Amino acid sequence: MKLRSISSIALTSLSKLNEIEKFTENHDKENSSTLRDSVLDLPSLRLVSDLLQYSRLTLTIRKKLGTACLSNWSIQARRDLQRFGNMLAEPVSAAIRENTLHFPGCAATRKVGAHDLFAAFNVRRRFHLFRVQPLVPWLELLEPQLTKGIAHFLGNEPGQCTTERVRAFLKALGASEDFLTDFREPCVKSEAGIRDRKRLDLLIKWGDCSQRRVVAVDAKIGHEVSEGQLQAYGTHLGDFKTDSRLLVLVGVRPTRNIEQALRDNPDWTWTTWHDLLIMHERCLSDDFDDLEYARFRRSLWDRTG
Amino acid sequence: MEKSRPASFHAYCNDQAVRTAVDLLLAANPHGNSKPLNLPKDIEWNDLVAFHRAVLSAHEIRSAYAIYLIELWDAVWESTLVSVNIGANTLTPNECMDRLNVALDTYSTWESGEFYRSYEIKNSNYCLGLGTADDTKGPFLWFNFWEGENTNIELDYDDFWLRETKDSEGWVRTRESSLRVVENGSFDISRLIDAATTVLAQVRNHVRD
Repeated sequence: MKLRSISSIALTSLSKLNEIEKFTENHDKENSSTLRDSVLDLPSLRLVSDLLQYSRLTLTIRKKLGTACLSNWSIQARRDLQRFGNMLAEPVSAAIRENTLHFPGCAATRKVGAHDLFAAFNVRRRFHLFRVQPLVPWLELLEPQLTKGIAHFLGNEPGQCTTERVRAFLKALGASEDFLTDFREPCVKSEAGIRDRKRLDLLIKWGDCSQRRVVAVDAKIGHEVSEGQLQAYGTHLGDFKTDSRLLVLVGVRPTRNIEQALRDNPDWTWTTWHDLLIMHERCLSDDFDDLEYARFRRSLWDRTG
Repeated sequence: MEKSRPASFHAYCNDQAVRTAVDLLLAANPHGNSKPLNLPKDIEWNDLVAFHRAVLSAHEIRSAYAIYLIELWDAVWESTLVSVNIGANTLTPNECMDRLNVALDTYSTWESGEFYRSYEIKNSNYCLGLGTADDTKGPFLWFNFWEGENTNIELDYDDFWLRETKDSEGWVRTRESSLRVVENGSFDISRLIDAATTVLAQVRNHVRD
């Protein structure tokens, strides 16, 4: 049986299960049991079971499908099904794609309010950092390692992937749509040297001539802003017009030192790592993300919490 | 004998994304005051209701956890104290908080992950510290037995107990790995009751000697 036809059966079964749930809620036993009989086909049950597992539903729902739902599908099989789901326009497949498929009677999900938790932080993406483990849980990455990691994941993928990842990162830093007009082919550097042996944690540039833009990030994880530090960075980027540059100080939480530094350097903006990462997760599409990058962001989240 | 985690807390234990979101929301407003919560900077109007519901869910999990530890404590320690018949007087919550240097409010129970009560054994200078906890890997017990202000009494603990000290005060706990929480959040507390019975029986024998 071809994979496309199997996935169609599975998706049809899922639609039927949705209807069963609705009839059950409305105490319509006759229609509920009629539909229930039509989904007792073994191959579709196994596929539905796996799709349900993939969609993070509870044991309660899986039990309803009976003992036929015991086998596990390989990761590759699930990816294939997901890919087929992406090609269909049905509401159920759309819900699988967005990982929002759930039944109204799903007790644990409803009690926890997971749907609301996920909506509040847009935890709908497959590679959202909330869903994954950090790269190496016991390892406490240092500031330079984290900024080098950001530059690595932003700047080392070919073509559109780099462009979209950097765009998402810049939006999360606060770059406006106007600022990102004609955004393409960014150049990302970490530990970018400037004079007097100072180094900018992250420097992102794109465009040429009158369309040149630059974003500078000074990253703080537990360290203070040195006297004159932000001013030195700003001076180094002095040949960029004010509306062509975005200077951002990123830290764990605002301290007196940071607040003073921002008062002394009003051309710098401020955000926390967690605010940056939450917004970033909304801005980046799964199409340009992967598990390794997600796990790195999770490492960054845990380190800056 | 079976007990269950609250469904909300069990989902918290098993779903990393839920856990991360809840930890974020609870960290933002630890004391229930008017301090702003972690409202995402780019939140849109149609997400606001979901955000408030999410906050409600996070707080529900925290309260459900406190209730769960208390009910687990009742099911294990309370019942065993009766059956072993040591002859112990419970202290009031305030006395417990002073004696054990713990706090019993919702926030503190969540942050510490533990619930304790203390007992004085009648006509003696002996005291008991009895606790329950669940660190998302599984439920377990805490136990301490001392004389006077802080002279810890050593008992004969079997392998079910970990000789893990807590601030060098002689606290021991049961192994988390020995208790299996099944997918629906339920678990068998018989082993916990057996462990509680064994140590309290030793306490009784020690006091009588």
